[in-house]
Amino acid sequence: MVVETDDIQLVRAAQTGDLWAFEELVRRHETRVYRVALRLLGSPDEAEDAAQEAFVQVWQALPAFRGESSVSTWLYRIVTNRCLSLMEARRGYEPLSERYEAPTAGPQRATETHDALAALKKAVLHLTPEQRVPLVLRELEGRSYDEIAEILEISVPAVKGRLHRARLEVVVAMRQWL
Amino acid sequence: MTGREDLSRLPCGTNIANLVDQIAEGVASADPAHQADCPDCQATLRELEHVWGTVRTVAREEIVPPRRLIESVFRRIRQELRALGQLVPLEAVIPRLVRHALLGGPRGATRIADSVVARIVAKAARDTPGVHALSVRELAAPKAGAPGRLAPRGVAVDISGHSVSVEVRLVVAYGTSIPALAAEVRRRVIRRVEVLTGLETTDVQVAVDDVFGDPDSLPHRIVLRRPPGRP
Repeated sequence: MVVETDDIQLVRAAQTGDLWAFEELVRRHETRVYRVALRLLGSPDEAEDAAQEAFVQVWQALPAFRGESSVSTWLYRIVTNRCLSLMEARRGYEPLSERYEAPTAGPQRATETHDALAALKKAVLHLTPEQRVPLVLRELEGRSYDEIAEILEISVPAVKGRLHRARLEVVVAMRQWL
Repeated sequence: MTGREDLSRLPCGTNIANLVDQIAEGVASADPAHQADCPDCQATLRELEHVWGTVRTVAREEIVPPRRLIESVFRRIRQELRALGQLVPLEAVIPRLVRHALLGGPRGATRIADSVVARIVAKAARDTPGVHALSVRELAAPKAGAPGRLAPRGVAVDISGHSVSVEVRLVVAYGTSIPALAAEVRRRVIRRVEVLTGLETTDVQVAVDDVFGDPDSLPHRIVLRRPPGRP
C-alpha cells in the first residue's frame, strides 16, 4: 500500500540534514504560513518577509523539534511569533490608519460585498496583536481552541477570553456595514 | 470607538457578547425560549449572522504565496550554512525544478519525477485508438511546478503528494466520437498511471485541439498550397 510520507517523517529526515525533505516540508506548508502572515500583517510584502524568516527559523529550530506538538502547530507558532515581533517593531511609527486607508464611501450601507470584505480585513488589522492572533487563527484559519492555546503557549480560557473580546471589536467595527 | 456601550446589553437584558459567541461558534442558544420570542434578540442575531457571513467568506478566500518564496528561503539557508563555515554544493540547496511524487515506506521513500508521469500519460493517450497525436500546441497555462523542459508537449501533470492531476491536448482522427474518445483516454491514463507508479489520478482534463484527416478541409488546403502563377 502506498502511504504518503507524513510531516513527522519529513522533519526527521530534515533533522539528519536531508535538504530535499526540508524542501518538501516547505512546499507543503508555504501556503498556510504565507496566508496566516498575510492575514495578520495585511501587507503582501511583509507577509512574504515574515514567511521567509519563519521558514529559515524552522530550519534552524529543526534540531530542537521533539514532536511534542504537531508539525503544523509548530509552524503556526513560529510564523505567528515572527508576525508578533514585526507588529511590535512597527508599533508607534506607522499608524494603521495610514497604512490601510478608510473607504471613501462613508458609513452608508455597503451594497457591495467587496466593500464588506475589505472592511472586515481592516477591522481585523485594527485589533490589538493580542486579540488579532486568536481571531485569525480561530475564525480564518479554523484552528481549535486547544491548538491555539498550544500555538500561543497560553491557557484555553485565556484564548477564549481574547477571542470573545476580539469578536466584539470586529462586530462593533462592522456595524456600519450592516 | 463609539457605540461600545450599546453593545453590552440589549433592551431585553441579553448580553450581546453571548449572542456573538453563539453565532461565531454556531452553537445552540443558552436561552432558546426567550430568543425565539424576543424581537431584539432576533434582530441582533440577524445582524450578527450577516457579519459572520463576511468572516466566513474571508476565511474561504484563496491566498497563493509568491512563487519566489521557496527560492528565497533556500537562498537564506545557503547563506546561513556558509556563515557556519560549511561547504554546501550549490545544487543541494536550490529547489529542484522537477517536482516529485513522494511515496513513503517503512524502508525509505520513493520519489517519482513529474516528467516520468507525463511520459506515461503521453504514451497512454497516444495508444488510444482514435488519437492521431498529442497536440504540439503549447499549453495555454502551464500547471504550477510543471517542468516543461523534460515533459512531452501536449501533457501537463501536477503532482501533490501521491495524487496527480493531468491535462492532455490531442489531435484526433476525423470521424471519432470525441466524448467517447475523451472518456477512453481518461480511463487508460488513470489505469496506466496507477499500474506503473501507484499514484492516484484525481482528474484528467482532455482538450481536443485539432482533427486529422477531415476530407472537407482538403480542398481548402489544396487552394492554399497551389503554386503561384498557375490558374
